[in-house]
Amino acid sequence: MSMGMAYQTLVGALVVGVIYSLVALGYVVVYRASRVFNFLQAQFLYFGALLFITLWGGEGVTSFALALVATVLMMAAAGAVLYAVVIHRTTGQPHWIQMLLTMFLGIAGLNIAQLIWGSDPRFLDVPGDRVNWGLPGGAVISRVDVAILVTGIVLWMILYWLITVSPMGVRLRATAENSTLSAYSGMPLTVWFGVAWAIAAAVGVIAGVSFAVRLPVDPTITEIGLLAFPAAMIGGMDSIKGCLAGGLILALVQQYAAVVWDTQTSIAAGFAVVLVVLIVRPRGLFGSPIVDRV
Amino acid sequence: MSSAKSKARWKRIAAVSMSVSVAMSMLAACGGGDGASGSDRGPYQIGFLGSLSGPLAPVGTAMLGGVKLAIDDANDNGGVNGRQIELVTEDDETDPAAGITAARSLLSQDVLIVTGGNISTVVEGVLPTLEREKVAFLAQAASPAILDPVKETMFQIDQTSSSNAQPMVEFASELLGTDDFTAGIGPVESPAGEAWGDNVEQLESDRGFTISSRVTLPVSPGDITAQAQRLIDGTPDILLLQAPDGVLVALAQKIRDLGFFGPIVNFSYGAATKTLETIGDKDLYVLRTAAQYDTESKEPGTQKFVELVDAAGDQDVAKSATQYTQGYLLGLMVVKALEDCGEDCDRAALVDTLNDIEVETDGFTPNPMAFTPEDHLATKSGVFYSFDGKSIIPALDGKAFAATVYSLEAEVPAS
Repeated sequence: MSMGMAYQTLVGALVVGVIYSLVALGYVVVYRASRVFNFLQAQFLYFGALLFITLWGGEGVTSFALALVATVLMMAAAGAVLYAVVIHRTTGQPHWIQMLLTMFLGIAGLNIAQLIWGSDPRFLDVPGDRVNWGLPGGAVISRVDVAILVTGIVLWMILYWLITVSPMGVRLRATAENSTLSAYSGMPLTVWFGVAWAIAAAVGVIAGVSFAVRLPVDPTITEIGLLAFPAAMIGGMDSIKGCLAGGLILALVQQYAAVVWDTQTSIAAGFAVVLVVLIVRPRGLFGSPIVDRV
Repeated sequence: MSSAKSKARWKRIAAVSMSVSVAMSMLAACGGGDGASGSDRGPYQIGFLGSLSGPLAPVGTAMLGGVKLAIDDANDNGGVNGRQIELVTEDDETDPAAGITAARSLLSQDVLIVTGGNISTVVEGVLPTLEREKVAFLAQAASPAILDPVKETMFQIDQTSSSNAQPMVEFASELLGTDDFTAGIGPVESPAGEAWGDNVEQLESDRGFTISSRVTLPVSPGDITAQAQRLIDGTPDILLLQAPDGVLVALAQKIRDLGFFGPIVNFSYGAATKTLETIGDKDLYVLRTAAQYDTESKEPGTQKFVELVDAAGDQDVAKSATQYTQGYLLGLMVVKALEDCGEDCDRAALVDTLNDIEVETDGFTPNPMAFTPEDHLATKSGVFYSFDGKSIIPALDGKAFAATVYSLEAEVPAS
């Protein structure tokens, strides 16, 4: 592999890594709040991308932004309602029941999306997506990829503050640590869990649209959503900081493996990293220590 | 007393019933013998087996739409041999095991032929079941291993993707004006893709061009930056790809982003018109074994296809899914086979008919579709197309390039 190719691969991996980290944020936010593995996150991507394409007329940056905001709000509301109406019913049940519930809802969601929008690939022709910028050293990056990088990092910073520093984040953490005590102290658990699901759905929209500007939107986008799950495991299932690190590590490993070997090897390499992390540091690189109180 | 009367009454009823039955049977026999009314025999039962759910549902559904287009047209024009054609559909759920169940269901419904088959793994899975019952299987997708050597009841409408190595290499030579060129090749991640890549490599040693890189492409879209980089590494003159439509959109754009501006030649069951319009790249060429939805075409076969699509309101799917076109070809072949097989067609007679048949498509395919006992591949050549900014136009004056699974030394037919 030449230096030029290695450099270009690094640029590509950074963009993919940021998108992965957005997907991982969805998994982590729900897990932090309720200790549930949310396998609906991939469907949030798919629904979000399709809804955005439906709402956006196809022309103009302003209408693009308006459609994106509208999609985020609608999906956030849908995420909260989904929690209140369905997931909430399983509160107090073992976590594996909730996990299975999200998996089955995911399968149903995929089919519902196909009933509404059909299965044909949909293409998003974004203004300026054919504009490329040369970087020092010879690599190129498209304007759309720069927008994804900036949006992803800004969103990650906002969520980091919101979930780990802000009073809301403290409450979310409290509900996850000990829901019984939180309830006794007067915290409306359903509201906070609903907020976590709303955030996950909203982040899913941004990740879905980020994919959609680079790839056709069809049911396979949900597979990509699941491929990003290792990013959350590498970084730590309850770590917002770990999402970014996990996403970047996963993308770097996958991209360089794809350049040196092939596509299949790149996917296997990504999961191999997860395996190593699980063995060496089961809580992930930035995950909280696993403590069993007796 | 009453019991004896009752027995006598039942005897009379039985006798009358028997007489009426015999008389009706004789009348029916007389009516059937004159051949005046084919509709007495009811419709021909045709089975469709395809992916109507699961990941490849868009493919199978589009194909079913194309099959229906041809069959509905035949039915609207009085049917075939005075009989209507009834399509019985079964879903393989994009899964070979479910495909076998679906095939058995079709057999139990006494279908004359099974058509569809949009995935080679399902085709391979159900073939033994259909072969045992000696039912013709007219599929869209199969691997070269199934077709070569020829199996009596297995027929394929479209040439296999692996067989398109030769026309793509020959097109590259003509486009570049030399046999001495360098190509980056991108087979898709499948057995057929591997076979295609191997065929290109064999042609490399036979014809003397150079392969600068061979990069396996994913079946479904994902980030393909790495593959794009490897393809253009070694500064090729041309890229020969096998990218599915979804992958092609992202790949072509990424290749251009990375600074390769030479010709890109692709084959993956055609590349839909909508895909080419979306990419909007004038130096991207796709191999098609049949015309697509083209309102500007002067070919009578294509004009008829456009008319039927417009009447059915299927313009979107006809433009976005090449399998719709392939389904139409399957339908045309079924209709012609039934026509040649005759009013009393049965499964065995239909197999015999398919083993010696020619379907004139009036320019919809580069050559008429035909099967012989030695060759069960209906389309044998393709034309390369590109998008000129307004419409899809044939490249190199519409010259047809031959392809075959049986040999890499096919003759190039006249365009």
